[in-house]
Amino acid sequence: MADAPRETSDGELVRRFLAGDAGAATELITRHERRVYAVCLRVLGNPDDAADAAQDALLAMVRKLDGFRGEAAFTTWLYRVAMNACYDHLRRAQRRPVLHRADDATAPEPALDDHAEAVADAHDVAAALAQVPEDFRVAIVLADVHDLPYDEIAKVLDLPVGTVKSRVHRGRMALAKALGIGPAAEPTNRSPASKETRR
Amino acid sequence: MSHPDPLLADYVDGTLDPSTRAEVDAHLRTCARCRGGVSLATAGANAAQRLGEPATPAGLGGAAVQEATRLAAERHPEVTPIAGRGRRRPTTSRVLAAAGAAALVLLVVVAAPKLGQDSGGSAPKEIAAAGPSAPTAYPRASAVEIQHADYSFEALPGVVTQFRTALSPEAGFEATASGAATAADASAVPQIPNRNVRTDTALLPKAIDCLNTAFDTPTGTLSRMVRAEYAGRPAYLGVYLIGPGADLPPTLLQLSVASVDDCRPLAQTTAKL
Repeated sequence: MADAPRETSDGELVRRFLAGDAGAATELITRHERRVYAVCLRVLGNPDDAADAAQDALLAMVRKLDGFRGEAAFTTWLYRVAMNACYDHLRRAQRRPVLHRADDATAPEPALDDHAEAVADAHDVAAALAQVPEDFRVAIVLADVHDLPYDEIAKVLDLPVGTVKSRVHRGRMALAKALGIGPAAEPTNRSPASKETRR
Repeated sequence: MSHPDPLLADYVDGTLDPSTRAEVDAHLRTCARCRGGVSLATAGANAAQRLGEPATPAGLGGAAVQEATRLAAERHPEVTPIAGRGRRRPTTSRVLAAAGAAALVLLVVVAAPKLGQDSGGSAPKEIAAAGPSAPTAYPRASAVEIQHADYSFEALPGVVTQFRTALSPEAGFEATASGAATAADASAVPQIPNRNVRTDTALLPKAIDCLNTAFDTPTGTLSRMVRAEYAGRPAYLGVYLIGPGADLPPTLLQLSVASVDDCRPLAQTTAKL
């Protein structure tokens, strides 16, 4: 549906829902549930917690739609709702995210300077991401996984842009260290697509 | 230049302007700390981008969909929540039930956009079912209707409105009922015979399971099940009649749409009766 030629805008769907059309909210949920679940999974680290948080986020979205003023993009607003759900979940759980992998505890540390071999598979990256401190993890999930511009992340997290950039940088370093990567990479290996979204 | 930490995220992204980038490059040539940080951050950014999009669990949004339905009905109790029609007479359902000796009749209009195209005509078709006078015996789906129609989100309010209108006296159901519901069996559960489209009885349990998965088991009585397409995807469309219980007639009509392939919720909308 996201590729439909004349897709109704998110803002129009919000307006319709507030006018009494429950189906408009359903369309919003269908349209964005993947995004919400994906960000919750990367922040929380395991599918069960992510599903719980994503359900909470979608419920909160529906309940708070009358507070969406259209001043920000709907996705920015929704990311904020989703992040609040994740933070609530983290606070309730009172624990760091844990990935369910039997060999996590016994896996040998990768060679530190073996950057050329640092093509970790997605599961390894997910496991390493879970070891990154929460604030930094959130920043790189939004910046590098969901490709949000820094100024949009600043709105989502209600932080100055400079703080966001600092957290992203430190989060990236922490992720590399968690993957056992040594400081040997050359900069500017980013994809052109992500570069375009920055600034 | 002191350590340019605030610039290093942009540096790694390659989005600094040339002059600023040149300044950072000059600093990096003399600062092992920052050089190491940039190296690590580049590797970290590249690693993070390798994370793909995870598969979304089925039924994730089901509770939110139901909440949206509840809120829409709660916030607009006097207004039809779907198509902006005027307030309905509260006695509509009671009229149906109070018919008592008469049958509870569901007139299904299939003149919605793209709906019923394989039925051989564009005029509204009526499907009538008669049943016992007990108001709890809502019409029940007995098979899945196979339709070669592609529903869209934009069309759903109109579809629901037509279903709802079909239940109202002003839609002329009485005249239709007199002609169509002659074979009423007072002991039978009301059902919707599907005369105009091909039906599949064996598919019904699977379709029900699919909608139950998508919407965490919708409430109400399933009165019609259609297999068609929604936004180009194979979909089940279930029409549910929802009542307050205690032998009272239905007060809501809910249309739920789930994908055939993975039983995800695609749409849900509700109208007051």
